Amino acid sequence: MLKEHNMTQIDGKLPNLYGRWSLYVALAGLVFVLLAMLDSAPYSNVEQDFTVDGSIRTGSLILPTNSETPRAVMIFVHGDGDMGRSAFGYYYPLWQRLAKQGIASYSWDKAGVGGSDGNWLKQDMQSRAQEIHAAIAMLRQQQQLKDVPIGLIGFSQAGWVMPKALKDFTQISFAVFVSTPVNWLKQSEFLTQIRLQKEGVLGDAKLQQMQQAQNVSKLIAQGEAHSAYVDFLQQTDPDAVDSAMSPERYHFVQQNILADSEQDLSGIKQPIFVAFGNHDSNVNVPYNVRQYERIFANNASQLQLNVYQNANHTLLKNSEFGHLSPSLWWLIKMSLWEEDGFSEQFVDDVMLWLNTQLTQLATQKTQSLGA
Amino acid sequence: MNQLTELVRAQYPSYLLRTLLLSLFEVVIVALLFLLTKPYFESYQVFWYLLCLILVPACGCSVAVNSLTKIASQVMVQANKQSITLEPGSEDGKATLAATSAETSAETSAWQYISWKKVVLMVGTGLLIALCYSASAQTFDDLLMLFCALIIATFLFANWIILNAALPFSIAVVSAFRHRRQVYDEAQSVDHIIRFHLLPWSAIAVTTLFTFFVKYYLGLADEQGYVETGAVVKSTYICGAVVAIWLWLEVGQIARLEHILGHINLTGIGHISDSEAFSLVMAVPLVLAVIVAAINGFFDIEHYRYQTAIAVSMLFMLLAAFAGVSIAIFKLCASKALSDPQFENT
Repeated sequence: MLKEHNMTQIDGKLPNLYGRWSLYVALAGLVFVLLAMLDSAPYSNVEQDFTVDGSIRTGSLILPTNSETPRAVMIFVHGDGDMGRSAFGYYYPLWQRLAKQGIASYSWDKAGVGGSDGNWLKQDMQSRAQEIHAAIAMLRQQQQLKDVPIGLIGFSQAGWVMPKALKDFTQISFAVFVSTPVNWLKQSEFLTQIRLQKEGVLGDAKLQQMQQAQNVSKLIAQGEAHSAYVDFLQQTDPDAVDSAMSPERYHFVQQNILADSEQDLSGIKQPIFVAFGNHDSNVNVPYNVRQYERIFANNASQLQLNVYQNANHTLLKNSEFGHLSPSLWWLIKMSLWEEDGFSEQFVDDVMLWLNTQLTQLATQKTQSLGA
Repeated sequence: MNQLTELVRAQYPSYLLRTLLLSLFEVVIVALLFLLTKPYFESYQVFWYLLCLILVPACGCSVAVNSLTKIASQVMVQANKQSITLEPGSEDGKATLAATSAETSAETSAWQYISWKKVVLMVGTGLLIALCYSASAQTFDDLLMLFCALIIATFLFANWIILNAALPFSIAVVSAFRHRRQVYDEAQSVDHIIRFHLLPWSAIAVTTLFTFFVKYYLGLADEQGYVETGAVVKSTYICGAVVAIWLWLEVGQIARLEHILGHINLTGIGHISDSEAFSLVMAVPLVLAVIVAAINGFFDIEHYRYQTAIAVSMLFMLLAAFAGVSIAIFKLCASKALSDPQFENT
């Protein structure tokens, strides 16, 4: 019989010390397990800035947690666009994989992005190469990175930056080139072809538009002002005025339009790994493969070049990412897929190649010490 | 302390053990399902994150519902034996509210005591576990830690829900039993079955296996993302059979209480023996698999794009879940309704 005076105890919840304690114990257990998981993180992310020509670049030094002294440090060199240090999370799986191999990574916000001073649109390829030198100087001041080999890994536009840095700076031991074209104008021409192909422009109209693009490139290369460029568009192709380059972008293109890495590549002594995707719609892969093979024809062992199947410009799987333009969904998908988003074998091949380079460097060091 | 409170409290030692074992069992079963599909478990780490978001609320709710139903059933049996009755209309506000609301709103399904706030909190905890795993080295040891975290989180939330709901739910059940005047008609029964059995259990089964199928098919898919039809039919049959048996057993046990309360009442169902019910549960997924294979053969489909394979398997799981739940309910309704011996056996 439930008496009235007894019912005052009922308030919808059951006061029970036994049950409550089981909650507290479970909560403590959960916190403990989560902390244990965090403790096994493969890398620690340390804020590390440097200065180049009095201008600050803010960046992250990714240190592996599985060893006190990293086996090497890889410097990440961005492609085109306003890239932050992680390239919108694109670098995370690479940082993680490198850290698991005991290799540190360093990447910084491009000029004018994040906490970095300046404006990347005012930079040319030489000034970006100088940034690499400044970053290396800063890294060498770190006790744990004083003597470790330094490598570069760069994407797309970095193909004109890294050869300059490699040629001028012997402290860099090797480099990985990802979807990097050799000649700016040739790449520009290829981009125009792809655009016209997508728009379904054929025959004379295509030839006419190709000629128009060449004339624009010629005008930019001649050093004409932005206003002259806009006037030219108004006269020859009024429809294109709305999508014309901004003055800043125009200036950036004008500074770099004659970029060609052939001469710099010919002068480098370090081994390089070059990767392309067979579905790259930004870079003419067959042409550039031929260029790299020609440049390194006399020293083939210096070059390892792989073309990956089902891979796009970012070396991500074309079947999963090819139809996606840079968007929020692309970012979400990339962050969810992590390393599995990359074309099969690409990351494995890079890691294998890096390990081979590090082994060779270690052998050379031992031999030189013995001598 | 009143007698009903004491009755509920008396269930605690056994309910704590039951909750812990169920949490362990449910998470371990899913973990084994994933881990045994080698070699694919080592890659596609993202699916462990997705699994955290799904498994914590799914297992938390299912374990809580299971234990709550068991507690309420036991309390109802004991209250009946000891002739404990609820006296609505007492002077005390809270007590009156608890007792009378139980009668009027008839919240006699354990699902009704799980609030959306708690579900969101469970998803949030799943997210936290996923983030911690993401930041870890993602080794096999970390994967085991992840499953430990999922078991603890499942136990934590199920226990929390039970602590809050055991007494009001038991009051509602005892009250509903004492004041039951007429059983539901068939339309009300079907509505009740869909709302409290088909939908929640099917949602849990399908979402949990969704993660599995995404991971498994991505592992099987070739560079262009295609999965062979044979693999789709085979894997969906195995999972369909597991889902149908699981829900047959789970719903069969939980729906028993509502059958006694008169909320599930289907007439005109002939006798179904245990072996016949089991055969049906095993046969339905097989028939579905044969239909899928026949359709593939007719349209000459040799392989599916993995997204399509996932969709096919999910539809298959949904139908298998429906079959498991339906057979459990039919078996229940085919037995002698609302008899005292049945009540004693709850």
